[in-house]
Amino acid sequence: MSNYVLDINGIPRAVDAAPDTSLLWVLRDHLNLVGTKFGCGIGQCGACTVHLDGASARACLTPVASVGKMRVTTSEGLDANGAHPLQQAWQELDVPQCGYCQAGQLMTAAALLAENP
Amino acid sequence: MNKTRLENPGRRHFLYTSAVAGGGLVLGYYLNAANNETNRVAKPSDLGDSVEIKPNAFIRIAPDGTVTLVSKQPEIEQGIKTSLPMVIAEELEVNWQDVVIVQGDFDPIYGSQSAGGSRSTPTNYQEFHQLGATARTLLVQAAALIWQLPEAELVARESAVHHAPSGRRLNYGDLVETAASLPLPPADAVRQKNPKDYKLLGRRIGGVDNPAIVSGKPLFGIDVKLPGMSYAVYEKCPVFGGKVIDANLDEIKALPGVRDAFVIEGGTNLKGLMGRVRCQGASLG
Repeated sequence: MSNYVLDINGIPRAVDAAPDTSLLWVLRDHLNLVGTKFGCGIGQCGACTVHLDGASARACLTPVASVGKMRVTTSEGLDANGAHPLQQAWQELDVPQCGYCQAGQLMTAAALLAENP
Repeated sequence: MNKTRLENPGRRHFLYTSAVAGGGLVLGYYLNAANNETNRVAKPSDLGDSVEIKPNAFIRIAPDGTVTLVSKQPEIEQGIKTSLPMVIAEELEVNWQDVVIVQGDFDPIYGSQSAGGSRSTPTNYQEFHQLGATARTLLVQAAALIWQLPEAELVARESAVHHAPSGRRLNYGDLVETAASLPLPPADAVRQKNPKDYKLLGRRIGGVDNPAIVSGKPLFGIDVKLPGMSYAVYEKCPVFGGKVIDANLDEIKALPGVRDAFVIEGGTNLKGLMGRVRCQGASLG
């Protein structure tokens, strides 16, 4: 196990985890941030998508040791009040069905639009 | 506590109403707890001490006007957690934004809770109309009693009872104490709304869990953590009918957090287990 201090949604969070633990399980199991979902575990489905320094990344394939000082943003931190324009649009248009993968969809769309305003 | 027979004889539940500790109005119906089937007939004589009858509470109206509706069917993407409470809210004449929806969470007092075959709406639709209409009737009767006016002059809408000639209104929250003390109206005194007057049904209403979904709040089974919970995983043989030859169980068991690891001998029975290694680990939380 190793100690890391991660910048999660703008807050420094200390975790003690094996270096190859994926960021997904650090978020969900160590930090109880369960908005980021486990889907396939092999980087295919995108349910676990988070932002690393603003760019979308698959948390399930991101070892915690590789995060370093990068800013990690999850669906919980996309907007302080849950009022990111995409979060509002998602509700206005009743986008979610079961909703399980929506955090990944939102984070992917937010990164895309940030890069392509 | 008051009881009356529901209008729909096919369901044969018994409505009840009750005041609750801390104030408020509760409306639900009885199920015979000895039989989880929702359409079990509960005769009035059953409602004594000899048979365990547990009341559920599909509608709770608090003195502050908050309306809590229980969603009994599992939400599995079909939208039932939103649509069935809409039926009650429609008849209750309540503002949708005043409504809080909670899941029945498999409590047997809510009866059979399953989803499949598109049956959730047909099996509950009529009953939920009647529940909502009964609660509305009670609230109108409470206002009639307080104002000493005939019920016919009163109209329920937007979480309040209105008396148009005098311009007066009483919010539902202000009526619950009186309403909870009234006898339940007989089914034939409860008028369900004419569909042409529907305000919610037939409109597109966003899923009630959408705010939680878009902001990453815990909602799904995988998000639940219980005290002392541990996690188990299987490593299955990739070939059907394969057998476990060897497994590094001691090495696995020495890993941090692992409580146990063992081999399950499988077989070729399609309904049985295939050979695999099972590991169980402790929760990190």
